[in-house]
Amino acid sequence: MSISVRVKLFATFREITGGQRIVVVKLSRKTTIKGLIEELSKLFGKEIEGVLLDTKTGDLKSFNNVLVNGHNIKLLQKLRTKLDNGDTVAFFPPVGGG
Amino acid sequence: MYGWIGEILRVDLTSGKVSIEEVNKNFAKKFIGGRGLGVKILYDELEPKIDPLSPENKLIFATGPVTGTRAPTSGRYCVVSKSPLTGTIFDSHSGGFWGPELKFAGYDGIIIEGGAKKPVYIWIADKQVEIRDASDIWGLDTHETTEKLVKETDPKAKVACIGPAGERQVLISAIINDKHRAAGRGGLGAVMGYKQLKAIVVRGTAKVDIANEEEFDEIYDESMLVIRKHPITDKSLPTLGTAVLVNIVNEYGMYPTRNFQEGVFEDAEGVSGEKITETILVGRRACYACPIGCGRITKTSKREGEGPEYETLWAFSAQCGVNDLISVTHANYLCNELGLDTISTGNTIGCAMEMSQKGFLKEKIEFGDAEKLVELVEKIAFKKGIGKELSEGSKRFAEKHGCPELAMQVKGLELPAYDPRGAQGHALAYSTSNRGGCHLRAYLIGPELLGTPALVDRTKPEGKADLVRNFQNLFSTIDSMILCVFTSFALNPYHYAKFMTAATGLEYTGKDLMTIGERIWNLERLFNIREGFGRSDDSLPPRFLKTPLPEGGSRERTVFLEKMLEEYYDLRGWDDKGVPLKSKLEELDLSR
Repeated sequence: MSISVRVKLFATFREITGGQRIVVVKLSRKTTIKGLIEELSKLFGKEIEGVLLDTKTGDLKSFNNVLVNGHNIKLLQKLRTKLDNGDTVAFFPPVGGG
Repeated sequence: MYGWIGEILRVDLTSGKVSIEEVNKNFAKKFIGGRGLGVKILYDELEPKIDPLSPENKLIFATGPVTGTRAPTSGRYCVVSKSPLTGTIFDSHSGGFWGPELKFAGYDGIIIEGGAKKPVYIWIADKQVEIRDASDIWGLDTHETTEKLVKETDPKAKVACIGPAGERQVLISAIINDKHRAAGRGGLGAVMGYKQLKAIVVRGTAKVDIANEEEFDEIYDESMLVIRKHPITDKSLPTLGTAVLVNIVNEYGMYPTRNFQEGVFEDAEGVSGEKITETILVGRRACYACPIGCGRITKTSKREGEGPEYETLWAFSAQCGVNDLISVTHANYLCNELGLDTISTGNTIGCAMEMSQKGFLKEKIEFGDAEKLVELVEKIAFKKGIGKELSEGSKRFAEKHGCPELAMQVKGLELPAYDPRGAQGHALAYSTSNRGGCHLRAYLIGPELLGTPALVDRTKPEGKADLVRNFQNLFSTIDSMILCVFTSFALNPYHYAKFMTAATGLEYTGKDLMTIGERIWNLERLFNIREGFGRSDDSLPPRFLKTPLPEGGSRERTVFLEKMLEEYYDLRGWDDKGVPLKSKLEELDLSR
């Protein structure tokens, strides 16, 4: 069964999509964040993986954050966090401030 | 002395007497400078329960031992006083160039006492001090004041001053330096206004003596490497500024909307950091010796100025339901010119909007009304119409109209741009802050939202008391050296201790600095206890404890405060009323 998720990109990660803030991504089956990133790289180019992931370990780069419906995947199953139809996934780079 | 100049000015505005006091080495070792120095002096010298707006209150402008050196972000100063807004001890901080200039002029700090009979300003140039008549600048805004005083004194002079708001003793007024930088919080502009002190103008040509130049160079190189390697201090803050947080905090469902009634602002994108970059951003600005440079220079079709930063952006947009970036930016410019704290001003207006929505106000002040927002900023500064009542801050305003629960404040200080229901540790940090509702006594947003230094579960109360305590101690030290807390994204107590040792020639370890931070925190607590504050003041507005957030990433959450508070008091070595135990005071060398 195919599912559809809303992907939101913040700050410099918008460069990945050429400035698009929100992308609705259709996935052919229930998948994980890892599967979503693979799909995004098909849609927007392979460099997205280099921006998001540590090429050596394959994990999310430190201080990059991914939220599924407001919950940080580092506290869920990381890249193996499962996605459901209608989920909102937010990607943001290292940020700080007051 | 090294690091410290070794001299503090004492200026009695009632008699016009100016005297110089030496900085005691033992005292400096124990309290460092800046916040610590100010707190210690006020604790020793202020009579309990004095009116903050009376000649008895003192206003201390303080720098620290690394201020004016090459240490990254060492361009800060702080103002310490008893706050007329909160009644607590209060230190308000600012960047820019004024702090280092005071040291170059030959002083670590200035203690202002009494009150002048007519408007004055203080002119300090290479040790020489003059109290000058300010009758002809009284009434000018902070930009006009700065330009006029620079012309009157020295083209390279630096000015810290109040605007019309401070002159009128508005309880949420700020002290503005270098035109755009604010010691914003706590209404210390009103203390300056009460004393009829319009400005302090400084100019100096000396340099700060460093005890061990070689060691200083080493730790400088090491720290700069770390700062330049860290993605937040090297890339995020310089290129995106603080406003980048808008969309992210909104995504977490913690972006306080319409006076904290909701945690998601539907129009956030239009008033976000990304939008600022696309539309009004024309440049960036760094404070003295700052490799980060988070300041934003902006330009609208009508005007040019600095900001809005994250907090200001929130205070005038989501908090008031306003989605017009230009109006928000103009409200920010106005606050800088008239001398108002943007957080307290926006928060108080948002409070009035909810009161109007719920029928507590006769005057109609609607959420989303951008024109009204800008109009109210001006009215608050000049105490005109309803602005007179609003100028006393949200707590007094809501109490007066019979709905104290609608004021989003802690200890009388308006809360900033993170809904505490989404981050338990940050909620504890708000409630235990010695100066009231503030995000910079302990920035739990780092570990709870941004993953710095490491991500912890924001929904759980467990382990938060310890984190809050450590942040509070560390930030007390950073605020006393004084460096910008943004360095703490990259640096740790080891780096700070190395800077302290190299600059002053006195031995400090990271552990020493944490103990000093703890000492300062406890002394502030003792000050507040003497003023009548206690456990019931370490709280939050009832909304956060009882009413869950309606939607978004923090939906259905409230704060588990009591559980964390008990653990916090225990870890602090305080009794169940929040009073430091004798043994703790002895351990910190604070018992008399």
